[in-house]
Amino acid sequence: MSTATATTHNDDAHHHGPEKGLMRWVRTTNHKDIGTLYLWFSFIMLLTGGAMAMMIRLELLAPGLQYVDPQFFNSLTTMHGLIMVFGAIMPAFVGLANWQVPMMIGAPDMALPRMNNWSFWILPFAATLLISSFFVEGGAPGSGWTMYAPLSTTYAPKSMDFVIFAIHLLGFSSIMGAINIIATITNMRAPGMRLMDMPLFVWTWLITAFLLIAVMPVLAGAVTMMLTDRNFGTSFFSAAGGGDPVMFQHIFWFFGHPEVYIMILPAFGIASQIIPTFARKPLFGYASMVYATASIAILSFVVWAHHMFLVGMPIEGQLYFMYATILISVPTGIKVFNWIATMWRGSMTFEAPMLWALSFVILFTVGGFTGLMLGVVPADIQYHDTYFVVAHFHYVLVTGALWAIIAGVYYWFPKWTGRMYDEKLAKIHFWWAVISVNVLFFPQHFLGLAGMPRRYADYSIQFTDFNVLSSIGGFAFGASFILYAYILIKGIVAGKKVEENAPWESATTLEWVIPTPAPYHSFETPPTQEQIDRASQHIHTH
Amino acid sequence: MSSERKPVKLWKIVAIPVAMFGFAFSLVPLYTVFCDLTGFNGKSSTLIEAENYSEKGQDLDFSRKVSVTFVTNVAPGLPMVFYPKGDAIEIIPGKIYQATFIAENRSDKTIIGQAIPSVSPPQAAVHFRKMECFCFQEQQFAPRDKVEMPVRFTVDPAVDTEVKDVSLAYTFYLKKNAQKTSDKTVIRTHNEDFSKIKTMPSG
Repeated sequence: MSTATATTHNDDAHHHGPEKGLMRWVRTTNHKDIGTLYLWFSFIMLLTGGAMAMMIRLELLAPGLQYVDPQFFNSLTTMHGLIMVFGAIMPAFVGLANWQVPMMIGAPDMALPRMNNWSFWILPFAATLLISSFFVEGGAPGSGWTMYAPLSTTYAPKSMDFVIFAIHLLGFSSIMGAINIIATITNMRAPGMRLMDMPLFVWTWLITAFLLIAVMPVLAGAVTMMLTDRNFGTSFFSAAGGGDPVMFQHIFWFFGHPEVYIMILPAFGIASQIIPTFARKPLFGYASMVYATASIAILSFVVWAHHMFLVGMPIEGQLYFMYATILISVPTGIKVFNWIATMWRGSMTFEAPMLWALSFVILFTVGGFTGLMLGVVPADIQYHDTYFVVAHFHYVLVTGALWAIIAGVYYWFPKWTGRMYDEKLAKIHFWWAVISVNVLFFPQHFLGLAGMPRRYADYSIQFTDFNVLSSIGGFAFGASFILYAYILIKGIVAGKKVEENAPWESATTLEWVIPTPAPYHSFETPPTQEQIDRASQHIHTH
Repeated sequence: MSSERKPVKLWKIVAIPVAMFGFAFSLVPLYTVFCDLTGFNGKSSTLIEAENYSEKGQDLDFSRKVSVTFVTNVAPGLPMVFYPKGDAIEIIPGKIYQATFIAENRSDKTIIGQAIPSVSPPQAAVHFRKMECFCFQEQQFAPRDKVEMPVRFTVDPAVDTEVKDVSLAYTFYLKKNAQKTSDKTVIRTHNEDFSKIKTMPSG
């Protein structure tokens, strides 16, 4: 079993469509079923983490303490971060990869279907363990999602051990998912499809998967050290025993910075599929997109300490990490300019997926610019741990990663379900969300510049106006997900039937060659060389 | 054409996360080595063969002055008072000085603890040399006892001339599992004579 190749199942059920009943979902090894499970799981986690965000914004609606005590508030910010990062964004991208990668490379399924099932089914248990920390004596940890020692070691409640094991499980799941994606892409591409024929979503996921297998184990190592510090008398992060709490931050951010690219590279891939489709032009600069993605991934390993300029660092270290960080804006800029060049003189239409992808480009760039500001040492000394940072990473993660996920769901919705979502409602959803999200996060820039620190349940009265505005935006944005859920369910149950293989007429990649809805088993015979050439022809026209 | 491409072996992909898990733990000694070389976390001063250091043979520049500030902390919950005798002194790099720190056990129980030093800025830490320090060993304090403890130190003249201020910070921690004294423990009493303390290089 050392070779990862296509496996044939002796299971009869797999040759005749899905198994009947609920056990289908438990036992399934089908990449589409598992993709669906991932997507629904991440949507539930998104609503769970979102509910916590609503409580946070409710508390911050007015200065002083209203509804929650500060310790619980800290638990909310901690769990909101962990749930959104590990429960919502990452599984959503894995779900999209499960659905799309085999179809886009003309493979019948993932390379390791049984492991694929296991990767998913670890997640509900990990999430339960994570959330159950709220109900342990002492409450959920309040250390923030970064879990800095000694907040997570000496001063954390018992439930920190729950979080540590939940992170181990989530890490296992991610690593197995990533191994599966690498094995699928490297070994199961349709014969005749070269690496440089692959759609960008596949490319970005291949690079993301390598980041995942490189850094998730480092996080596992860090939380294992935390576990032994807490329970077995070691002193990795305790100065009293010869360790160093600052070392935790180094190890954490050695994981943490590649991690933020894990959450954005597949989003780049989705935008790179959607924009050419609705601009009716081939993606501009395909090869430069691939190389830019790879450069971002490589650079992500050597910039981690820009998260910790304030913990004490020689000037040489600060300068190096500042320059290296700002260097990343070069490949990122290449990508943004390529998307704009793709749209230049295109015959653009603005269906829901395009609206989300377009606003992704604009709003992600806003988050990118504030990131550039934070990368500059003297500015970071001013902005560190303020709401400016909160605004920055919510722009890149909400209007970046989450935006691309929503765009991708709308884009591939007809292929998955065989039905079309309600375009009018989807447009209302878009405008509702894009306005409210800016009301929510844009004022936080000003709060941060004015000096409001993050992770506090209370604030000085001069911050009231912007916080009220932000909370109102927050409630409106939260409510937009009710509409989103309604659009998805309505589309699945009663959406207009889609008959054609490619409902978006200029979509060229291989998933649009097969019937709609995608049959339970697709590409049991690989696509023809002609189909592959037509799907990737646009790549080689420049 | 790539239709005859060789499949990638699964073990090669699995080896990466396994190796990276090991790498996470290898960061611990790597971090220590990095800090020893750069003084990054202020700890390296305990690693110099300080006991062999002497003023002889050093060209002392008497016009050059460095201010050394003493900072003291006690770990939260430890019933001790700990402070320097004199907050700061001006020194000439290369010359050996002695500073005295006072520790007081405010509880009715014997305390065994150890002071963890930290020198900043980092570029001074690699040149901060202690000939003798109470931080080298565990210290035992009798109930309600108040003792004085010496540090003999210098700042090597090799330190960058831009360094004008150095701080030497100690945090006193309770030794977790030390219920009884070991042969490494120094038992402190209030009437001890500093000259009899055997100096030990740290490990």
